[in-house]
Amino acid sequence: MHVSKIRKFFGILGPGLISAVSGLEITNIGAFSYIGATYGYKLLWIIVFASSIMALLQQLAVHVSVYTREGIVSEIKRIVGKKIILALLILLILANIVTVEINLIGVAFTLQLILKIPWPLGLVSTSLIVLAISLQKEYKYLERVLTIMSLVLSAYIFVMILYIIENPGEIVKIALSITIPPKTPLKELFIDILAIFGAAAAPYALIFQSSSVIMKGMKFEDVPEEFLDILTGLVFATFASISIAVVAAAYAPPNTSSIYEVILALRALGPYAIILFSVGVFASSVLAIEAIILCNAYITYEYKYLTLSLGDVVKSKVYGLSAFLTIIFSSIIALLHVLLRECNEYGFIDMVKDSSILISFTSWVPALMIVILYWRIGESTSSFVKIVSTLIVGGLIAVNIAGIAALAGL
Amino acid sequence: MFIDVGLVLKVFIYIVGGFIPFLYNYYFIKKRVDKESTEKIIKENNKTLSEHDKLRLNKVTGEEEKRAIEPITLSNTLSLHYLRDERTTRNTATPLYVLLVIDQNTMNNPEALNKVISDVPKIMGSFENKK
Repeated sequence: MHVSKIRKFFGILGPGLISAVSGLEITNIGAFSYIGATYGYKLLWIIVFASSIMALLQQLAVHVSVYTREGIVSEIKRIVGKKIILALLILLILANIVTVEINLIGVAFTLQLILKIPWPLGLVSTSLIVLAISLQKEYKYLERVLTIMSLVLSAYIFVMILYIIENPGEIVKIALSITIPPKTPLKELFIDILAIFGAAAAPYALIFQSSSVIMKGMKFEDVPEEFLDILTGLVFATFASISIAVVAAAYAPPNTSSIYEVILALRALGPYAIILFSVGVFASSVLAIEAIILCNAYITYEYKYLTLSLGDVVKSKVYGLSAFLTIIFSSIIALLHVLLRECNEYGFIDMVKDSSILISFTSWVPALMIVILYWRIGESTSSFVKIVSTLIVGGLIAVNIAGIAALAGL
Repeated sequence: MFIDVGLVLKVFIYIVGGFIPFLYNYYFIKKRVDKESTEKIIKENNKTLSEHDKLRLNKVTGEEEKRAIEPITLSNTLSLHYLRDERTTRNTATPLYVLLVIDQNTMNNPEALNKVISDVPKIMGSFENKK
């Protein structure tokens, strides 16, 4: 291979791997570990499918943002009116708060496991640390350190590769996972599929994709390059997600329920497993929470004022208020969640499932906003993509309504 | 022959709902961008040529010429065989490219233009000596 091609390959590999691994947080790790431990490889294809849908929606977010030149919140507000956009934003903020809540629980339970700190104390101290970081406003250096720390979660990829080298026949089973029907009752299966969608969705990611395009002042001719970045992200994120499920299928106990059993999936790493997991989860959770705080501030700010810059948002009073309220509400919901489930760290997976399903219920909100704008821009849009994206959003809404009905026992 | 309808449906949703739209949209946009950039280049070239013709045909006054913002157009590339980059590690020396930015007045004056081009080896030589 030519030197420049090798350089180019590693140029893509580095950032792709970093963004995929640092994008993993406790929702993904918990949900995919549960799926791997419970279903083996049978639902791997759903993880890939959910990731590819997210990638298509990211493409549309980029395309729409190039043409609108305003934030998607401002544009949608103009189309659907103040009341509807307010309802959509409340749903989105709720999904974000639920994501923060489960991340706080994950860190608190991990601290309890490794340092014997009682989880309520761990929860409060983690909340205060995260709030202090976000109120600092300028934390680029810390962000880099956390990103590097979160890279230890690539241990999942490492363990999966080791497992496949030892058992080469597994690769065929993984590839043909779609052909194996799961033998779980339909209702339970349906709810678990919703949990996968919730874990893969990360609704705040679409808002960030859109705001970064607007801030960069990206032109239409730059869009294919951005699409290539999304493709790289898709490949790596799917690879990282699959590796969690495969490793859990191989090593985790079948009825994985506690955070300790989730870590057991990494037992091939010996005594380092628990340390690597704790460091990675702490770093990735803090990164995710900081990103969500910024997202909440951004959408609230954009609802009130017209802005093209995240910098304006960070400098505004809305940011501090958003950070404070997000952390307070998330901590209260986290406490209530653990108390209502009447469990300690042994019911951790159930809590991850609850949160993923709740996130899934609102995952269609940013998707709907983007698809509406895609229909509106008209320029350089494809009819095929219009139809497919509408079916996807319609499908997401239908599946979520069915999910609510299933949970209600209907 | 028995066909598992559920499996066919799963595979159909998997491919048509996930990968195909993603890849299709990428190639669709790429094609559009390529088409738009080609159209833009053709438009720009036409604009440059027409402006050049207009300047020549209308015999713009000296005063107006001075005020006009002159476009820099790469009209031709000229290989100077005797100028080669000797610093290369390869066995054969690679051609050394020199970019000359020449204003409109010099371009219109063949003598001045010849002088500038013939001075290039001298200027390059003086750079080498300075090292």
